[in-house]
Amino acid sequence: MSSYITVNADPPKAKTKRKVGKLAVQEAVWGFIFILPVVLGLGLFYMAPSAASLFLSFTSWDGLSSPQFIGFDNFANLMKDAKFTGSMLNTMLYTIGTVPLSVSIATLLAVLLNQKIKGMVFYRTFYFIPVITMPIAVGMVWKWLYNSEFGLINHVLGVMNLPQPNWLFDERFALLSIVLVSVWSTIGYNAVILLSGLQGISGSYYEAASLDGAGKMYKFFRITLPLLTPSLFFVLVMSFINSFQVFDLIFIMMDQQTTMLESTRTVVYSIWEDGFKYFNMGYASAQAFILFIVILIITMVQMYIQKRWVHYQ
Amino acid sequence: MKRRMSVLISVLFMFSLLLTACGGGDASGGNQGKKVINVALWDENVRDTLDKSIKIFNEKHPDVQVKVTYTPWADYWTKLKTSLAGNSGPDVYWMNGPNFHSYASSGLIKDLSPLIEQSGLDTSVYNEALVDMYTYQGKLHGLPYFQDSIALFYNKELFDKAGVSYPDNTWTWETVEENAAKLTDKSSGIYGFIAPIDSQIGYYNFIAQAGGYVISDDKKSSGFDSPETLSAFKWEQGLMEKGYSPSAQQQLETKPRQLFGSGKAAMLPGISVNSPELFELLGDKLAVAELPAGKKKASIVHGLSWAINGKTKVEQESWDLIQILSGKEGQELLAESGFSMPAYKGTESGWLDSIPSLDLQVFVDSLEFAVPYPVSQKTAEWQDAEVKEIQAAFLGKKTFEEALKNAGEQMNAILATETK
Repeated sequence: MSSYITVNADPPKAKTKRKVGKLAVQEAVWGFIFILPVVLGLGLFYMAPSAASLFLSFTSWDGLSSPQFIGFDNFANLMKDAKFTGSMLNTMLYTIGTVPLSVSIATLLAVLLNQKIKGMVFYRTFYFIPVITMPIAVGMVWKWLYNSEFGLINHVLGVMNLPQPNWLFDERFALLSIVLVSVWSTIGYNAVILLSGLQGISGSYYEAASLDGAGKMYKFFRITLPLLTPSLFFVLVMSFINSFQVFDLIFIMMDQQTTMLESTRTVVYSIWEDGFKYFNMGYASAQAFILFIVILIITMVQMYIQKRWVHYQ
Repeated sequence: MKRRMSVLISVLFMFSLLLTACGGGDASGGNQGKKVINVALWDENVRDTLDKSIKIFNEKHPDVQVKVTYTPWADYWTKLKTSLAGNSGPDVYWMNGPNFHSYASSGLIKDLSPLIEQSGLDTSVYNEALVDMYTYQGKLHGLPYFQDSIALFYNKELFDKAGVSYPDNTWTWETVEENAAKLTDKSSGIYGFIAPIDSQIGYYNFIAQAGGYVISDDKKSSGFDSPETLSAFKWEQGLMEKGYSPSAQQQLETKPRQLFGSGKAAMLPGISVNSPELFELLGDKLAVAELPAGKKKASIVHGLSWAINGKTKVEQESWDLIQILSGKEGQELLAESGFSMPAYKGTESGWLDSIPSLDLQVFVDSLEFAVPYPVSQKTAEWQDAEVKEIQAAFLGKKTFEEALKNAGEQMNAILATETK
């Protein structure tokens, strides 16, 4: 900010120091006026709600009467609440299942999509379609694919004489089934980010390596992968955050009242249940706050570890 | 000069932003001088009927504007509760049983009894079970609009094929089992009966038929942990184990209505409002009879009512409006539309004619042994606990003895936290 002001406030014929200062102040004021709409928007729609929900997490509030301050009771109860700890565990399992699978497949896909083949635009579009499809449609269609009696997946398995599991309504498979759908719908987005990373790698590295007689695998692991790490890092951070916040797929693919939720309920689902089904807003806010802390810690750990494996050119 | 202009423009821009930001809150204002009643509900299928009733209302109150907002079911309750909390809620809105007590106990619904007394309205024209459902602390808080009861749908074609005579009002649990055995055809994947794992079309009825109850009359204790309740579940479980009914897992995946509608099952307990959908799927093959009896007859009745916002500014007008909607004229209009069974006794004829090939009178007759849908202040909470335990038992993960004991304990614990 300050450098911006001094550069612009430097008049051709500098008169007195005081006059320049006045001009600088005036420009600074205008600068603030120009960013005011954004600051207002951010404050009104992001910061104020966050602060409000932090406050609410220390209260008991049904959304109607005035909130009652109850200190750390919500947090203490959460630690004892099997529903919440279970949903935390499910979210972790979901993340462990989704992130590595999605990112590794997306990396391979990005490399494949980075070739010069006829019809490449078609392939790239093809893999991106799941990303732009509404989650509701994705969930509904997959729910039918997974149907154990009438679904396409089990029909194919049956033809091949393979076991036909009950994908969504057997607690051993339910979470896995949702993980697969989520991988399917996120690889497109991740691949596009990684693809742009790949295209930023200068061809001269490969040329030099070829002259030195490097093979394909060697080039991939020693040039492509290290130079792709900044994009990979971004994709990893975003994937972690997104999968900790998963809600829509579970909401659509599971019934709202079913014992199967015990093995598929995620933290955000639990927040929604407590907040908008039972109207325990304080309890829901406390869960949201814990989730925020968890995501913050995970992201900070990632930021710390990145120094060891991310190579900026 | 130019600079001046740009300053002026940006200042104006800022002001307009601020003004629009503040303007959002004032929703109920509307036309000056003209009174406005805001009405909220979720089902657009009732739009024609509602418009006609509002026309009747406007003949008497030409100076009042009725604004109707349809909010999809998925968002209805969230939106209603948050808007009422923000004092910008609708004046008149749809209320259902499971939510009623929580709204009434927080003062969000107007107590109608002074208005009823003042205008001398006779509430005995409405089905007693519905009046009970919308009575809080002895006072009526909602004017019943329409209702539904449970009866037994069956597929005539499958009965003819198996040479079994059609169900009638003498059938009992034993008759169902006997005939379901004959109707079940495992080779072609046809089930004789669907013993629902759902509450409203399933065990709520059977518990009452066995002489048990889900919630006590004073709403203080659960009736899950009782031998009567257990016998209802044992009967359902037996039908599944013998293969006469699809298993719980099958029902979780493929809804019973889909199974029955595609001709894969001969009998299915169902709600009166399911009739149009099932008729569309099965046509003339569809027929309906009274629910078979256990120790006695019972049919769960639920219905919606019109509630008035506890803080409304147009009380008298709102009251006049719901009197028309739930009055004889409005109820006849509703019946004719075929939307659902009206709540006003004796106005059913239009509804009965809506599907000529189906004897809808059965649903009206079932009101004689009606049992109200069980509700209390925290219905949603104990229902979740109940469903979790009972589904686990249906899926064979625990015994019904254990599940019902747990469900009863959890429900009692939740009921104990209710403020009365």
